[in-house]
Amino acid sequence: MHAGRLDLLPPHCGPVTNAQQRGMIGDVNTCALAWGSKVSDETTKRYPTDWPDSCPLPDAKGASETVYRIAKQNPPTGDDFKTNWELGKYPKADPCLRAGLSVLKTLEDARHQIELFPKLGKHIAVGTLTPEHGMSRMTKGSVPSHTTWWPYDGVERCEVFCWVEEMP
Amino acid sequence: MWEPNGLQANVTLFGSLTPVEVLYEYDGPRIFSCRDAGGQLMLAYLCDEDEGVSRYLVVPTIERTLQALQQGRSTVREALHQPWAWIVDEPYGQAPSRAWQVDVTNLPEDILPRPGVCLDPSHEPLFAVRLMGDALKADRGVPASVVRRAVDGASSALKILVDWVAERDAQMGRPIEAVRRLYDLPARQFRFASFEVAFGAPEASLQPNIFESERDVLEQVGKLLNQGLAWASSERDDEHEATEEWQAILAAVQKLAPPKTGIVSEVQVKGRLLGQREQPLVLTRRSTDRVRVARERLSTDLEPVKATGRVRELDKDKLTLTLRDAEGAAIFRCAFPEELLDDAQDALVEEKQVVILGHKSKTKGTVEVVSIDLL
Repeated sequence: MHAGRLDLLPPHCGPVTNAQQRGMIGDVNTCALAWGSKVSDETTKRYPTDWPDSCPLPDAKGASETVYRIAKQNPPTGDDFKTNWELGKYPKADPCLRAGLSVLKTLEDARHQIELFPKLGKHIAVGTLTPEHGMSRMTKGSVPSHTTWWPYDGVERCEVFCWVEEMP
Repeated sequence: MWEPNGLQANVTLFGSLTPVEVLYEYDGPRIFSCRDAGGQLMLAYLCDEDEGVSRYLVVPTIERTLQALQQGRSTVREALHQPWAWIVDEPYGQAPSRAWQVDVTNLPEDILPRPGVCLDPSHEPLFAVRLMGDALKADRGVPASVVRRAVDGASSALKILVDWVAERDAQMGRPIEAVRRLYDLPARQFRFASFEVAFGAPEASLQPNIFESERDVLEQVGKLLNQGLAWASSERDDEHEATEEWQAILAAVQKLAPPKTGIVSEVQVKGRLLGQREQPLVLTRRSTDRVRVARERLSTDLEPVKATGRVRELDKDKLTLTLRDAEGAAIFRCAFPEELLDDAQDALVEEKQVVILGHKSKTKGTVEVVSIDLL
């Protein structure tokens, strides 16, 4: 059993092979093959015209980090990457945060979240965000590595990510 | 979505489930406090979500429970485990639409947080040892010997492996500072009805490079301990090469294993140090036998020794001393357990002669001290 570096951060999809060697479950999904070409032709680094004002938050920067997101599916699908704004959830919440997606910067935090909410997804997907994919900002709560990612219009979000492990 | 097993409740009693304080946020508030229509403080936990509906488990709470959650003194499951509980459905962007009064103990297991999981991942124990036995009951109290065994066993096991990793890394030119912090971990939680002690990670050092190096040591210790515990708790007959590393691993596992007699018959070990693991590793009396036999096979390197001299050098952090004769020549370089620190200090300060009993490693020349008697 893998003892686990506490802040293990696979820099790309390569570690999936290691994950399989470590006894983790599942297969590498095909998005791993498309790594690095995740932005649709229509993307011109813009946000939807009907987005909230002052969004992303003023101190958000061009995304440049490896992040994790919990998914219900393997491979992750578009449904795993919808914002609250798109789903119509929490209409009274901060409109700008509603328009972003929560991601976590450490695999340990992603595993912890699945242990906290087992019914809300058991798959962890990893993606390396670049400034082409949108802007991001740390938005800490009780989870120190919590980050909000505001993807640009036209970014195929699920293709930025690939499956990395399933929690039992 | 699954149909809750409970009586339908008046959904208007829950108001709008507007968060008063958000305790955990990911794609919106997932665990938060709120007030019901009558002003009672409630704790809401997003337990499921499907087809445009968020489903919450809602329980009455008090400020002290919320503080305990935020400070890691209570797990999320413990905070939700209340005699009164409701499942409340809230369609996206609308007021709650349905509610059921439920018994938390009858809810599907996968809609609840896993046992032992805290709000903040850093609050979860780095290393926890639980001593089990039929005679260990909360209402009878836990004998002090059991408490001592749990704490000393855990600290001693970690010390053996921390020393091993630190010494190995020092030989590689990477001196490890303040190793004591890594096995004298802060006790964070005690649980009764059996006895469990849970240790947190050492507080972050003010010097980042030291913290990094400590984390590396702990990572190595976790891997070694995992290896030893997995072997001791399995039925596998595989033999291990008689390396110094394997000897250190066995010595550490022996500190954790249950005694052959007495009220402790099983020891469960878990924690972040051991990596992602659904179930604790379990050491039984059979594991104790396995480890003892394996150590005996490897023990040809050790010989019992007895020596008289004076303690002239003492490292309180590494728990080592040098025993010297009357002329000042070194007799032995010794490592001693934490419980002998006072005796060793007395011997140093009072410059008294001492008799040391221990086991000497023929290959390393060092002595593992068993007792220090002041003359």
